[in-house]
Amino acid sequence: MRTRIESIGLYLPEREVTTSELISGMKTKPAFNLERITGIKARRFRSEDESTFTMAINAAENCLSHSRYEPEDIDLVISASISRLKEGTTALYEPPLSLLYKKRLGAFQAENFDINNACAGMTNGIRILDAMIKAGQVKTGMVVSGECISPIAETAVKEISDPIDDQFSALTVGDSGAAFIMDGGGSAEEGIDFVETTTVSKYSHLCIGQPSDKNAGYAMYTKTKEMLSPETLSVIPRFIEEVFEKHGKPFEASAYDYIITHQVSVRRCKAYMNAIKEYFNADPPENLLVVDDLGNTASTSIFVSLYTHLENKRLKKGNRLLLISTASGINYGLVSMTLGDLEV
Amino acid sequence: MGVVIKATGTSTDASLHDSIEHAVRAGSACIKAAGIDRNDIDLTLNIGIYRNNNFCEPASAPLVQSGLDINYSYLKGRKSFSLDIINGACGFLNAVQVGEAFLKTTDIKSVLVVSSDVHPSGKEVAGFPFRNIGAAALLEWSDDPRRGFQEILFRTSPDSSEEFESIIDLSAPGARGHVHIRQMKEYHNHLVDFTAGTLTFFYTEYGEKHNLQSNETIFLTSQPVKDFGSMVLETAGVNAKSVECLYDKYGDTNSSALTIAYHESVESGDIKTGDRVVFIGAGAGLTSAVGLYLE
Repeated sequence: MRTRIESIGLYLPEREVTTSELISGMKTKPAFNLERITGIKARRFRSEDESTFTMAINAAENCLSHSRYEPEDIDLVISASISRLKEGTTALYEPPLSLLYKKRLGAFQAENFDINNACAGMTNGIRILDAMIKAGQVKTGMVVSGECISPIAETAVKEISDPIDDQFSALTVGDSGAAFIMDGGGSAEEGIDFVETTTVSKYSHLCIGQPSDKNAGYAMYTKTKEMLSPETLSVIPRFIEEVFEKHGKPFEASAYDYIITHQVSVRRCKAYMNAIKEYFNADPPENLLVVDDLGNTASTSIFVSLYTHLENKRLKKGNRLLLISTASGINYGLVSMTLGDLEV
Repeated sequence: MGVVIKATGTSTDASLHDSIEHAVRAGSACIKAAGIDRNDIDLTLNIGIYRNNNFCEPASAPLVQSGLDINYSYLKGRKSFSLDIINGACGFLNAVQVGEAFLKTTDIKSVLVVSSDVHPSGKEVAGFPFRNIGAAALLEWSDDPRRGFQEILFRTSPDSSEEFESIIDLSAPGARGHVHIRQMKEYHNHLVDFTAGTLTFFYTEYGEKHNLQSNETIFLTSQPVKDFGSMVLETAGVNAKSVECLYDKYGDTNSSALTIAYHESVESGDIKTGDRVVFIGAGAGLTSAVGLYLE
């Protein structure tokens, strides 16, 4: 059996915040040119009445509008976001967000649970659904993430007091919602070849998100130098090599039309490609970016890029894609797949 | 045939208020009891909810993996993976289900399910309903047709999602150390009735197939209130060999309740090879889950 992504949905809040606008609100300006270093020109921030919940529902409804399935056909709803804002400034532990989503969508019969694995949440969702569909536990499943991550940027603007501060990474993020539905309808022409994930736990303490101890709202503290070090970068090509060996054939960059990596920054996305190029001594295909216009949207980022490039017709049916996720943990993930006829 | 619990471990030091440390201690005890190398753990699933400082990144599981020194560095040929699965006191049965999918369809052979809940302030706080505690269970696959998890059923109510809510209020500074519980007066009564309904449904579906009405079934349940399991069984009109109640000993152990109940029942000799065990999880949502396990 081959699983596939059957449909995909996206929601982007309307409010665009440019990097220069964001920096203009800071008392202590960065000692470097943030836009030049990250390549991020703008990102979206939620409006006052938007939250993790609303962005997830908007993305899920968009996904269902492109799907052959009705809400009552979905066997499992998984929420995969880091943020858990039910409304403006209220984060929800219990009941799980997935329960609220399935009730709002009308998928009452579906099972539900939340997963959390930092920016790897949605690719982890692919791995879980791939296994659960193949195991015969469910036929269809939806992974949805409303990623209301802008509060960490707002806190960073208020709190950064040192030109080298561990909250600078928080200035790169943007809000969004994304969703996809998976089923077992894959074929030789479309579907997921394999999905593999691993956690290298020595890096687990390098990026911590939690409520600020000074202000209202969340903050994120990142040891950027260690997090984005050559050492953490070097895992990517080694992991690719090992996963492809495990699946019976060496990695060939030319076997893919595009790569989509987690959208950390333009510079880091290029670094991923250079690491692959140097390790395998071959030019990788283009990494499809959205980070320049939308920032790092955390758990949704790969799927925001996938949707955006389906919409602008860069991506089309039959394209071979390698998705590469990286996330606090540090989690590394790979999804090898052939795109079906995804409507957006 | 199915997912078997190879070993369990707990962390019950009431003076410890660190969610990661509770999970690491329980995980460490579990690995020791299983007699395996820690690097043989392929997947760590954390199902605990209430954690130090209300942190949201990374997930708890990679921190627990790090604390247990499982595949600490990237080494060729050895991989481990970890993530959090969150569904209140039913999370254990979700982890069994996800564990089963991985054990059946991938090269994952060993799944460590860890749980812990603490008040985010790292202190004892009056009114917080959950006991600071940790638990761990090691799951493996068995081809023995007389062993393992057989059927798992989840059910949620179409309404009632606001009968129990736990939230972090981020409108003011200090949210690291606070969690607010909103609980309606009738919540526990409704949860008993709803869970009894789920159990009745489970018996209608699987009772005859597995001979569940024979007075030989052992019940392990969530502990949201004292004698929860007995009340559920009485409401459902279901017979039992025994219903484990640890409320007087530990209080509401939330995400760890099912693992701890199993751990203590095996240790005391109440669960023996060949026994039929029904796990019942129940919590916010309303959500309840029932799983049949053959020891």
